[in-house]
Amino acid sequence: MDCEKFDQILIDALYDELDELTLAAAKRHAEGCQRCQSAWSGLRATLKIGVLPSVEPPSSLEPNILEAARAAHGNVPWPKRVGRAISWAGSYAMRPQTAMAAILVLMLGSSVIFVRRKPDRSGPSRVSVTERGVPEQAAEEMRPERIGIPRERPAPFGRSARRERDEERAAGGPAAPGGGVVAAAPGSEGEARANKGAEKAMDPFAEPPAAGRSRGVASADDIGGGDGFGAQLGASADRAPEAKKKDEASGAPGEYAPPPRDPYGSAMDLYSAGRYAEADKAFTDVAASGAKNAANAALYAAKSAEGAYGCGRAVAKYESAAARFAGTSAAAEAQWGAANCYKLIGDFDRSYALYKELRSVAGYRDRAEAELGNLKILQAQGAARASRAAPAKPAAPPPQATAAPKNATQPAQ
Amino acid sequence: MGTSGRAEVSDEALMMRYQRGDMGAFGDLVTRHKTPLFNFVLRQVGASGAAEDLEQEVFVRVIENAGTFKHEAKFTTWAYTIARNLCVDHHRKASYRRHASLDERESREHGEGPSLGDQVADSHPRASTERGVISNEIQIRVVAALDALPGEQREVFLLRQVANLPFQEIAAITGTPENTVKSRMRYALERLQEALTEFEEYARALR
Repeated sequence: MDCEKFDQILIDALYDELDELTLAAAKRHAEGCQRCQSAWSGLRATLKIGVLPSVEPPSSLEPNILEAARAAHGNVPWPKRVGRAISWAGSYAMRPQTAMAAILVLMLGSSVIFVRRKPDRSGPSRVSVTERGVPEQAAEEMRPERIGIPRERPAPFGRSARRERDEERAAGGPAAPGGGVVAAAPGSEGEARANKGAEKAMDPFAEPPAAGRSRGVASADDIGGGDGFGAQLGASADRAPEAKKKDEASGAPGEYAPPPRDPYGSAMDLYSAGRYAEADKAFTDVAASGAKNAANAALYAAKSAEGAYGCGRAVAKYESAAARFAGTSAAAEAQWGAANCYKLIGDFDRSYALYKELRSVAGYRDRAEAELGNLKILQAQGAARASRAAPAKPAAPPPQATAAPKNATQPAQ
Repeated sequence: MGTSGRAEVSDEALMMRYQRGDMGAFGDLVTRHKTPLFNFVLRQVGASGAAEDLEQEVFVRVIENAGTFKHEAKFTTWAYTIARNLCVDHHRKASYRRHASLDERESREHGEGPSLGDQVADSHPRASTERGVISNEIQIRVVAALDALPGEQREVFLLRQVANLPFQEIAAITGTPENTVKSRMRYALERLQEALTEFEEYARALR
């Protein structure tokens, strides 16, 4: 330690406010430095004797202060009173007990808000996962009817179905057991509904029967197609009295009111029923009306025409649908149908051109490539046949494709 | 100075109690601090009457601003800051520094009373002995030397020697760095040492 450092710490040394190490260093320095030793001892002596005398305040001072304090206490302006109250509240707020209590209240409050009641197990949940791992609602949305894909009519099966059909023939309509109300739909319509119901029962995507949806109709599917549908049969039997009550309350007991169907749906029903000529007309009307599903209607009009009259008449409709709704998936499908028809009627060049265009359409490329390969083979075979027949007789007329394909191609949608 | 041996309660705790409406806590604060505050103000203004008035004003301001007191703050820092500011205002109003003569009696403005020299002498009744005489003489010299100090050195000396505040707190009250406070303290002690040179032998005898 040098003199400069000693001067810096001298006051602290005088008041014993130095740590032990620094104090020892200061003492060592002072022992070897006359100047610093003199300064330290001189100031220490001055502090010892230079004590200021303490003057006692007058005895009246304290009462005067307290009296003035009481007066001031009563005259504190309201902003200062507010500040005092805030300070007082703050003194409580800073306590850990208060903070813990506040945290507890927050936790309880948030638990009331965020912890919800568990869904009621007795009632149906809004979304339940089916065996296929798809939410039920999603499955409902994916039903083929919803997305415009016609379903093949399932053939009635099993002994129960046969017995059912016999009964229907005898009674002229479907029957309902257990007091169920018999649908008044006559003849073929009742049968169609029965078939549709059976189809529904087989359809893994079909909606499960719901009590609220029952309209008092115990159709063939509810009766049960025999094996494997016992549970549905029981459920239908349970629902029947409720449904009857509902119908009685609505004033139309035993009368079935079919849900109104849109023209497209009706046309699709006709197509599904194999009534292609009627379906052709219905789809053509829908396509002409410009409805939102006009493109699909035009496509199915062409398909219906193909089913009813053959490719010769259908090809124009396919071409028309493809041209009118170009850019849509229905147009691509129509173009595909047209290409197929052209191939069938022997117009390989037009068919080739259409398949070639379809190669650039997503989803058709591989199929189009395959068909182009087939066409090349057909064209080569045709050329060879022509060359063999040319010296013998003139070229044969192009084949007429009059046979209507009974099995309509399934749309690729 | 922070706590009283009698009450064992810190100044800050008493202040918090007063903030909650306990006037008794305020009385304890007055009892605890009235004498050092009075001496600090008295040595600054030099007149007993003025010192009484100013000390009373200090406590009134404490009451008026009690709402702004935070429990983290030190009561002594706050109270002595108020007292110092009041002394500065007092000097400013007087427009000149009032040096109270040790022999001069106080003016009628502050009432009749003993001079500072009388007060110092009265506080030591056994002045008849030689040591008492020397001690009395020393105290008079100390008071005279203190009066001769520049105001900034005097206030630092008083806050340390009378109010017994640490240098850090003095720095906060005066608004100056701690090293500056220590320098001022050293200058004040050296002036005092010069004034008491002839009592050096006496000081050595006291060791």
